[in-house]
Amino acid sequence: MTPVERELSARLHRGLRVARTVIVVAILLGLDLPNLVAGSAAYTPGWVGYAGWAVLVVVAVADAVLVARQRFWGAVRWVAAAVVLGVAVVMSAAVVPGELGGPAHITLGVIGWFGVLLFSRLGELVGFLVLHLGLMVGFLVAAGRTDQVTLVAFGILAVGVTSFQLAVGIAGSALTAVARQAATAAAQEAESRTAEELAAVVHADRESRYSQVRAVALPLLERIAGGSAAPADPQVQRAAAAAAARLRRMFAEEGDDRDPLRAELAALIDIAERRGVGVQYAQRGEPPVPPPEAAQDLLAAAGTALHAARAAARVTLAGVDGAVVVGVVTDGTPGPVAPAGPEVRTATVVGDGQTWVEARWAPQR
Amino acid sequence: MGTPAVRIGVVIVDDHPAVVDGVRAWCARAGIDVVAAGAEAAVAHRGPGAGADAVVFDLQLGAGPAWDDLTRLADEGRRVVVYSQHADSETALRCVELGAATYLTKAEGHEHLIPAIRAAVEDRPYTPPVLGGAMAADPRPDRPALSEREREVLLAWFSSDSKQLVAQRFHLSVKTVDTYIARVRIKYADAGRPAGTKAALVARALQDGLIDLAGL
Repeated sequence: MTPVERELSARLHRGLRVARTVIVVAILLGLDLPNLVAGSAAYTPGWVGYAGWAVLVVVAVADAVLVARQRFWGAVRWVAAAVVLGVAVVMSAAVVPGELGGPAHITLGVIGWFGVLLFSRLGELVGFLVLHLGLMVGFLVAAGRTDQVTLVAFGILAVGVTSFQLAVGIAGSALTAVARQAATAAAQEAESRTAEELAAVVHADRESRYSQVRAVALPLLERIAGGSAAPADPQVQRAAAAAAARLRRMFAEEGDDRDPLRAELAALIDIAERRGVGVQYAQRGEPPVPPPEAAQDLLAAAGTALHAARAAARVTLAGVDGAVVVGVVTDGTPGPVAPAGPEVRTATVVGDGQTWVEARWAPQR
Repeated sequence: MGTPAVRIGVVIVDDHPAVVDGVRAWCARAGIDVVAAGAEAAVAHRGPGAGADAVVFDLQLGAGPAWDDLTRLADEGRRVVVYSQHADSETALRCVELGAATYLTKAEGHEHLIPAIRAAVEDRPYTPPVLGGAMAADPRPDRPALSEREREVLLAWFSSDSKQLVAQRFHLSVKTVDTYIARVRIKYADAGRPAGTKAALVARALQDGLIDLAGL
């Protein structure tokens, strides 16, 4: 059972459990006690009847306490069942043979109700009832009361009482099934609600990214269309590559990629490769996922360096001691790297005919 | 590194004919003899392959990584240059631990394979950038202890693939950068499983003054 099923099942069962407790207490006090008092001569020695009755009352009270606290017997139910059956055996053995099955033989009717209290699984309840009735038949046989009249009377009593007990037991099982169905329905509803909320979040996220694209790509396209930006101008080409990278990143994020940094880096590399730049990529360590603003700063630095590459570039991503380090070495001369937020440090080294841009994000401690 | 008086002979263990041809071409240009080549490690144990100075070894032979073959070669004191398309750190570090002289990915071969073979034959450490990155980002708790500077330099070497740029960035000489990188390799050699090649590596590093006994 899932926790939700258990919760629902417990709630539904509570009313039924209260009813069962009331039945058992009513039988013990209203029916059995007067019968014991009236027929105390049926037991030898006489105190066995009262002692057994007292034990049954204790078990019934213990059950009432559990019901009040919304707890269950658990594995202890087997011990309680053994105690109750023990009481039945001891009391039945103390009943004079002539009174077996008579009003003073109170365990005959009440023991089955304890099965109802203790066992919520129908199979266990049936087993308990059969075992008890079997023992009682054994006592009749041992006492030599195998005449037809006695057996028929016993049978009527057994069937009458037991069918009540089984009916209450079956009600419990039916409630469990109802609880399970209700829980499944509730889970499905929760799931569809989550999916709806998720869709809303994704939609809002897309809206924000589209607005970014509008801000980056549209003005450039308008300038090219208007003639104020020449497609042959390297600066315009660089800006177009940056905007294209943005678009590709946005499409990359359509997938449920858990590591947008890696996906966007791959998009940047792809753009460079389409321009004919040979890019070598390597990753080491397990880079943590930085917050979105930091990831944007890291990518901005990498993008600036990559857009400047002429024929070859090396791109690396490393995770060391919780930090993310993105490095790009190019054979070109990148423009200045845009200033990054406080969490991202960038360094540019020029030499050996190459430019090496490194951006590092480390969580603030 | 001048051309050694005695010519170097290598054996290539790789099951991709194109790779074998490529390595042959690089070796021919560098004046290194390819004495044997084959798709199985056995080629390094018999005939002319058994006497080769170094083994260029593709870890991915047939089904899975050929750890057993690598271990056997290292145990016999052969200088193994693992040349693999596997790029993950774990594989790289395991090769070094099993006693390979060095490890490089196929993407690095163009630039680093020939220097790596030469270094292996001379028992000198050679750490290509990707192996350096694996050491700098080694997450295992029992990794050799690196100093802050060693880790920085190694990470920068991984990132830039240029000792010149690393030297400029940290205001060091290229030789000092080399020393930092070599020292880390020696630390790994010292920490790993004992193998003849490792002892030779450490002994050579002591002779060259890369490390002193107290540094180990």
